[in-house]
Amino acid sequence: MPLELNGTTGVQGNSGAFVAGTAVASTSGTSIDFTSIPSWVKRITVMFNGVSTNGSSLPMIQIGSGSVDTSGYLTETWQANTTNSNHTNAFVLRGSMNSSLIFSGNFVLTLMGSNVWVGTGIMAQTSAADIVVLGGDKSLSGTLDRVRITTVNGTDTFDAGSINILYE
Amino acid sequence: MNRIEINVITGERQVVELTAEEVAQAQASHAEWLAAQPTKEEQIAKLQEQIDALKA
Repeated sequence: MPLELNGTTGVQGNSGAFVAGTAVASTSGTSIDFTSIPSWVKRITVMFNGVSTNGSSLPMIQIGSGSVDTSGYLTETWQANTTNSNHTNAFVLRGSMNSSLIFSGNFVLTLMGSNVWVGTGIMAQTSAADIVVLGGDKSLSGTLDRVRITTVNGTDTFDAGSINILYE
Repeated sequence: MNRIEINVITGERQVVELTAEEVAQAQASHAEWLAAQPTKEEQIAKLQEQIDALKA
């Protein structure tokens, strides 16, 4: 059966397909938004490679439908041997942060149904021995169409690495 | 301060300057988040509980 792979409509033929974006240099900006995510998407992987910021505010991921949701998350972030905290504002990628800290890892969002997204991730600090495990869920009012990577205070700036998404 | 927006369909990349309202909203959200976080003393107490449990 012939399959048509299209970045807007996905694979026609009810098969799986990966659509990878172009990696974005996370060397500027207080947030990085991936927008116009197609409505057929059921799984999104956000990839972080050597990412850093200029401050101590925790990096995080938010999602949205039409606009980015800043509340209503039920998430937890565990940082090895140091912190274990719940959050309602986002999927928080670190338990602690500083301007020389560099991290890499994947965060995967999957659609449970009825606009409920479940996410899990592992972030390794590549500048020291330390790892973070995080997860949780978020219910949206509509179809997910955007993912934002930012920091809790919204004003620290990304200054190293790259970020990309893969959706399917 | 600005936000980078990438349209995943077209690949178009835009740099959008944050508005004063967006910055104020981020600061308010940050303050709310900070207030909900456990204090250092609470975190230390939790770790101490784990240490005590390991010693028992």
